[in-house]
Amino acid sequence: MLRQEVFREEPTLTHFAFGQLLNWLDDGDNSHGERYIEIRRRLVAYFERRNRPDPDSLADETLNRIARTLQVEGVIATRPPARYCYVVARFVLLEDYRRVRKHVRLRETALNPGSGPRPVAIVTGEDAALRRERRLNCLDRCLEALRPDQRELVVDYYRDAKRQKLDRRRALASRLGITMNALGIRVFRIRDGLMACIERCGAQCAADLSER
Amino acid sequence: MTLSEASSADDRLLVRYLLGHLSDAQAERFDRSSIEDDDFADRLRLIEQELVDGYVRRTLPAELMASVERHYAASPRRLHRIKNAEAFLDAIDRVAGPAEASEADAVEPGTPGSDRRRTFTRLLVLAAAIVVAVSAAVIVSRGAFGGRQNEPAMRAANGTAAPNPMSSQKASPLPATTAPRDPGRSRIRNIAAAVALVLPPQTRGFQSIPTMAAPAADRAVVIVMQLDADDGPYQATLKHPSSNRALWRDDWRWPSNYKDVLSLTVEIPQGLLKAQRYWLEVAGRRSTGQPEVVATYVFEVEQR
Repeated sequence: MLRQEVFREEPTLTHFAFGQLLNWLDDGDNSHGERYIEIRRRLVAYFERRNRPDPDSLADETLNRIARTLQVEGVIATRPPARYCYVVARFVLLEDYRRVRKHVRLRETALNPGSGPRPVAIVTGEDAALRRERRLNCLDRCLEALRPDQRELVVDYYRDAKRQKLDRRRALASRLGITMNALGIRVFRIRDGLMACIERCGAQCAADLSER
Repeated sequence: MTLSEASSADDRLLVRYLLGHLSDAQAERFDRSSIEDDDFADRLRLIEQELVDGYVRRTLPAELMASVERHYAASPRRLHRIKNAEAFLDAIDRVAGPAEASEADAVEPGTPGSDRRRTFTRLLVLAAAIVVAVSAAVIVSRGAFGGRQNEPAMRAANGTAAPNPMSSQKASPLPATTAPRDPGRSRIRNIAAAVALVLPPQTRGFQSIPTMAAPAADRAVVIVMQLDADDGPYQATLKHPSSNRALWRDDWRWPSNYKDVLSLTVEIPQGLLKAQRYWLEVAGRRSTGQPEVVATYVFEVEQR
């Protein structure tokens, strides 16, 4: 029996095991799940940079394995927790490489006419225009939903004025009394929230349209 | 911090890491830090965003632009990130006001004749945009009323600015265009004089072939191809129809959008077009990254 296709272990976690994982990642602080989200984001980015086709699943797999270890062992000696996350992620990555190699070999021997590359999806001009319009509306709505100071900061930081951009950013950082790096990170987080808002808004619009 | 300012060696190293240019050992060290080290993770994320924004704004150096297209944009997720950044920066520009947005198109200050070129470029782009919109209206109205055979939706706009020594290169067979130029408005930058030709989508059943008079030897030809799909980037190849031989190949470019009419603009180097028929093949990318022809445009050049 070919077992390599189901190399991933049972993905479900008990509520208790998940709570244990959150506590362990917080490492003494209570981040209310923020740390979990942050580490998961880093893992997804790691697998993405390694060109894995499904980085989200691999990040989840990594965290699930750690949770199971915590459940069984009760404790993980490696500290800080992020270091252990990397160690497990590396194993998950290597296993994924191996799994893909095996699948490629199987595919090469199989005569499956449906397994060829997918053609470029053709979207009609009307669909594309509708999507673009919907997206712009969401962007406007989400920008409006920001606090005025955040909105002003984001617009000031990202507005395009080639030659003055750096000066303006320096002035912004000095006005706020923070370094350029700290400013960049602060603005990036606001932008991140904005993009999440846009995704939610887009999904909501799509759902509204399909109900009509 | 902006990547165009190339702020520090560390940041440049991070960019190389993001583009997959580091050795395995180096990349692994960075992998580890990207998960373990909070400051590193924040910085990396910031640099990645700056890279994507720089790509969207076309402010990156040419080799970085090409590298982003080859490596970074090859993944569908990252392509999605680029599209998100495009939409985001577009919204920011609209909020910040039009004066700011147009600065991205500025020719380097102090260049002799830069003001004249900039004015000409804007006029040319405006003309091309208007022609696209008018052509779209013609297509829609003719499509709606059926009836007579369609005439080619073609307009020509001759430039009037003085010759520019920067655009004096002669086209050679299949020249490797290495430095990516900006798509749409900001791309048509160093053309002293040009002819604009708009080609409607071939799927609309045009019977006659768009025709233009043979351009003067010192004139580049700007061709605007209307697109049906928005799954860029695209690459156009000029072909000889009888031999199917490629005569010139453009870079991969994103289509531009004017009043919801999608178009791909290419600038065919001066001296390349003779009096004969040509094909412009437009290739998109499959999900696997392999190019695939998605549209073919035919046009004819007539003797003056």
